[in-house]
Amino acid sequence: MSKALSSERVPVLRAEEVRRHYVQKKKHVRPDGTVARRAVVKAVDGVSFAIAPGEIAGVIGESGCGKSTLGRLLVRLEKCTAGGIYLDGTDMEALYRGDRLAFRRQTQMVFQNPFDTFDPRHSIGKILTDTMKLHHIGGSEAERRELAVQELASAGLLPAESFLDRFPYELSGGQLQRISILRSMLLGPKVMVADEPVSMLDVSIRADIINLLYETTRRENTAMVFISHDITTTRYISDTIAVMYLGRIVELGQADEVVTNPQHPYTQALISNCGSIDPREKRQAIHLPGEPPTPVDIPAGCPFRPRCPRAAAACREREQTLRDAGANHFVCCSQVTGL
Amino acid sequence: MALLSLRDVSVTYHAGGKDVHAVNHVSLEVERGESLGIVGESGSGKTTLIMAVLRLLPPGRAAVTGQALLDGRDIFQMSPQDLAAVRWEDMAVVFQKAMNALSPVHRIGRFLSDIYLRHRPKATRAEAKEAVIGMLELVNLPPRVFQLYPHELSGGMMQRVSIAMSLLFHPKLLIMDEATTALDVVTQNQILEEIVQLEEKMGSTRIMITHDISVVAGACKNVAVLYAGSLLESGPAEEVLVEPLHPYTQGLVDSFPRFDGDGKKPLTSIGGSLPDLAALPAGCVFAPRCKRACDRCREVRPALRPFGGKRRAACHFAGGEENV
Amino acid sequence: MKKTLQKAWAVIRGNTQLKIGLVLLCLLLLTALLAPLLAPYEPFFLSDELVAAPSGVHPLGTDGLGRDVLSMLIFGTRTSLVVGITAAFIAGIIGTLLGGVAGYFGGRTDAVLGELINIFMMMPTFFLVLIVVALFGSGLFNVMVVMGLTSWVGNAKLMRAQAMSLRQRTFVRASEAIGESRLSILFRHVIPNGIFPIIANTTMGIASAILTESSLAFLGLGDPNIISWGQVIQSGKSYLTNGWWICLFGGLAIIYTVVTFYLIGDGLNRVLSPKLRDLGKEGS
Repeated sequence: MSKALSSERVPVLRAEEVRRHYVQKKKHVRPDGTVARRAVVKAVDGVSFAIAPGEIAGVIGESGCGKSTLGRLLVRLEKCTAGGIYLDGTDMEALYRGDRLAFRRQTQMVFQNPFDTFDPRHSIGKILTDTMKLHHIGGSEAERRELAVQELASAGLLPAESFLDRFPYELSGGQLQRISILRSMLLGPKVMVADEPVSMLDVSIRADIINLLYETTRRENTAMVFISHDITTTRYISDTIAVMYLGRIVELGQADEVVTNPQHPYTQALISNCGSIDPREKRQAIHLPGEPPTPVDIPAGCPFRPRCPRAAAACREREQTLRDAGANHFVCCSQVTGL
Repeated sequence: MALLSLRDVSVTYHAGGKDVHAVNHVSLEVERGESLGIVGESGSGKTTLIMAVLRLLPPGRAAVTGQALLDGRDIFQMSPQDLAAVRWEDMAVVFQKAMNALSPVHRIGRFLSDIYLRHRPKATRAEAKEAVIGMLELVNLPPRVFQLYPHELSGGMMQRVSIAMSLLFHPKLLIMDEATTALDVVTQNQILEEIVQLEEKMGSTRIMITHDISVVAGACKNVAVLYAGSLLESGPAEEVLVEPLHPYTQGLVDSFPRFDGDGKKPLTSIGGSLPDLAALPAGCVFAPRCKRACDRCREVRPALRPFGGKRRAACHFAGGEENV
Repeated sequence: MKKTLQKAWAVIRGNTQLKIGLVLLCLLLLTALLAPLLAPYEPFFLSDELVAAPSGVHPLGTDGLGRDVLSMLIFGTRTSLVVGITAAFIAGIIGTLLGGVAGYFGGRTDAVLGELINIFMMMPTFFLVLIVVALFGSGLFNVMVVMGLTSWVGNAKLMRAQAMSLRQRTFVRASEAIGESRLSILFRHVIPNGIFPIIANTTMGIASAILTESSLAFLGLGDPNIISWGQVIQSGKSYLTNGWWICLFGGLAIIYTVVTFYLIGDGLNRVLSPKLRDLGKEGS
């Protein structure tokens, strides 16, 4: 994921100033005490980036930072309020309106909750063959079943035939998430969005899912947006990492660079709080005052200012933008990058 | 004498004509002033075990055997009156969903004062208010929270309120069931640090149930690893999580991506899945997924054996091959 | 298939209401099917004994025209079941479709359909039926259709609520992401997964349709060419003092049927409630 279009690699997916605002029609008290009739929730508020084919871009942030909304926008489960997303240079909205099925084959999504990803009334065989039928894969039902067995086996679900007649509730979360991944990859997407794909799974099987995602997308040269709140897992799988706060990307760069050398005060705090499983290792966690904000009535200037340990008067007025802090490391903080 | 001592606790659910063995012969000691993290994945029985200790399991559907001695008194044998007195006063619990623990139509202060007055019938409202505000301050909440409704609080504040609520009577034992899981990392860490500090101040004892090893590593002195209802390993966190004796603990530790050093060290999973709790294997419950399992593991269930200090593990291989 | 049947049987066995209701329903269906064999007389056969008390010849007595009450009630079962089931079925289909579309599509569609639902909710259904019968005649077909067209509101509200919650479920979003059209998602995922309360409600709807039809017949607005329980009661109205059996047994037949469908409906409601159906949720 890079902010600017890198010259050597043509991006497969490019987001430009993407915004997604929701209007809430309920009474709402602003921080300054005035009452508003309606509130505008700025879930995603001006996000730009690009991904090259085969690249894995991690998006990290706390709940409410807009990372899941961004994911849904990237596969057109929701419509952008403003800005545009371009797939191979073509506006996604036009692709979606043109040929919906062809568009769906290009961007796919793996969801957070594998237990609820499939219709509980359909067997695994039906789920897979219906998907193939919809996209005209395989000539006959028998052929599609054969293909389904092959795919199940290749995802390590053995004996594959036994899965065809089983129902989602008979399978474990790990098995379901594998099926979710293989169903999406069946369509040969150019872009895969994985929204917290392991957060609901047991720790002992997470690695399998992560590795499966990594291997299949690398093999097919599929670009992946890996959305997670888990910094260590994201770093493990991603080439680049974007850190989101209140609907914006506050830091962007190579995965190792962002994690080991964070520049934005928010990223620094987030990473200092990242849990370790070694009790001997006591890192000094940076505390953030105040409560995690909601994306309603985001203050002007830097949105992180109210909790930022480095906030200065200038942060109040100045609109912050992502700037290069060197080595393709972009930071959205004028205290770091200067003007 | 240990504050809480579980002796051979088993919980069996009767469901669909089958006996589901959710917890199997778990024995544990929790010393005064200790902090114990009970780690386990889904189906490990960690929540069932704690619900049994709190006597919150549905009476008709779950059969509990064994003893749970709190200060020498068996919780499982207590009369409802004794139990009511012991809950809150001697042991209190914080659940994952704090929202459910609070009444949506009452102000925080009113709700907490009512609880206080129910247990201290002779106290006045003013005294109750004082006690509640004192407790809110202890968990770093401003006194104005007293006047607020639950929906006006953020997730972190709400979790702090339920911690304040559970500490209202200075219980000897605080039980936290995934109490910080739903929070973001920054808030979670902050609350955990505060709890550790509070504990030092109040000398209370804590049991923490979680699936997240990093929480245990950061906030608990001791750890107990549960799998398929059995206790596989226990001991000081600094030893168990650094040099596990049980292959399952080792597997868990290896599945966590490391933060430091080379972030690209390959992650490994523990293959296979949890055994059917209604038809547990005859031998070690972990044997079907264990890379080291031998015939003896599949036939004889290993007992929990001591390994110096406070360490215990239930594996034939632990401490060398000579036991196999 | 065998597995499904076994499961269904286990569910039925576990719910007393459902069990009793289904036994009663079987008796009712048998009566309707075997009416010509069970009834001692033709329903329109006029005997010489007018307003005869129950006896060996006429187990439930005769009415003012000398017709055998038992035979009329047995044949009336057919009318009641046909009317009840057809009307409730029409209401079920309309309610499911409108509620499903409103709840799943949301937005402006929901705003328009929501208003329509509100309008029909405020409609005095029974009087509407009266007007239609008065204007277009009292044929059984008219009655069934009008009742179906006016009693779907409850179903629509239920289905709308179901669709609104199903819309948030991952599998509906996943189906969208995989490329299914919205209409296909509505019919393949939303309606089949949200239909259970409508099934329970429709079963109860049968009972109320039977009551409405009986009320119409009682008011003399029933189809005169068809035997129905309401009609029996109406014909017994003038003989309440010297021929109590006409109204009593007519009323008992209605109560029996209504109770049957209520038991089944309520039983289904309990059995199919979402709490019991939420499988695959995590828990440790």
